Amino acid sequence: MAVSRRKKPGDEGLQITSLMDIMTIILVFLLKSYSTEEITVAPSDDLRLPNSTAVLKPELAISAVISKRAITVDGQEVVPVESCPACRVNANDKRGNLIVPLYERLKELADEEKANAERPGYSPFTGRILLQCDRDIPFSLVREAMYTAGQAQFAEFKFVVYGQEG
Amino acid sequence: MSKRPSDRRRASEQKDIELNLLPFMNLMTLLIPFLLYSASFITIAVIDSSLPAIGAPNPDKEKEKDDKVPLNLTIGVTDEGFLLNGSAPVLGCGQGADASENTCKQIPKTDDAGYCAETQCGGVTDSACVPEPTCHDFNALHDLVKELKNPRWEGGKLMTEYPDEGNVIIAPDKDIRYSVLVRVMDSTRETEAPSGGTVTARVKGQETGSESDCYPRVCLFPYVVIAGGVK
Repeated sequence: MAVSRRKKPGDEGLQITSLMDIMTIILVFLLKSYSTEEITVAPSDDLRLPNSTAVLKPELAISAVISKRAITVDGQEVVPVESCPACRVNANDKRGNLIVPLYERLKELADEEKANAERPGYSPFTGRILLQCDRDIPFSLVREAMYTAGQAQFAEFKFVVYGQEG
Repeated sequence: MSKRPSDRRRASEQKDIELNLLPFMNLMTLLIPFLLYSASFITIAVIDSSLPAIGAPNPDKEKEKDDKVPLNLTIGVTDEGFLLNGSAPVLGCGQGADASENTCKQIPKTDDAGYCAETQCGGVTDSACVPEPTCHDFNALHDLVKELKNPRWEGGKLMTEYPDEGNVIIAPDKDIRYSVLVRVMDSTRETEAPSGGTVTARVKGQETGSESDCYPRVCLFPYVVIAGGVK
């Protein structure tokens, strides 16, 4: 009786070697592009950062987001942009640039950081602040935010932008 | 010649051995979605800017400055274009017959439609982004600032005008969009290295004369101070 050379049904396993090749390449690529950046940006229609040729890497700091809709500090909405003309006071501020809710929040954070700085193991207060601004907002709003941050003793601004691929 | 029974058995045993890839596959199917989820395909960068420090002037520094006129490069960004101010002759300030006349260099907006589409919409024009007919001429600004700093090679060393000046004061109008401000900072920060030499990165304790703080490019005015604006 002739012996059949064909394998019995059920013997042939799934050929996954080629799939494995693909997987390995994807894995290596993803591991390479895996980033451990300290700051996170949540892009939305209200917050589109400008493109830039800057190459400086961001450092961890308090982050203020100025979108078309609202000003947010460390993930907490502070004041909506539309209501802003009403949120300023001119009593102690001749120029009328101070955004009061933002000032109060930043002052709070600055005081907190300063209190922490005296403890061992904490870095000293640097006054560093990351500003994530939408590309279409007018400079007047950026200026007001900068002025307010400056009044709350944050004087070292880092403008967060989209860098170039590299 | 027929194989001995023992040979035949060994051959079939060897053929049957296959790597069991299933556990590895399990690992992969878990790792790849996780990495895809956390992968970031955009690069985030920052631009430094500080408020000017308030305090008593440093007397030594003041003395040093006495024999040199500080450059004080100021760029006003208005709706019409750029207004430059500073003590450099390139900027042409203070040479007018009338003292009140502003003779400083101005860079008007350009009406090059292709350039405007590129700078305002990244080259894509659709209903989502309609470029304005005129736009700020960042190339002209970059060229002018480069001319002012004039990086060049002299005797194997990288030389620039105003080597100690890295500050630029940018004063945009209140209606200027933030993206324009960022482009101005980009235009004045650095430039390509001049031909005729190789720029090296700065290493502490080693002075070669060809090092650049903006390696592999050459710094123009990387320190930005943002001022209140022209109006």
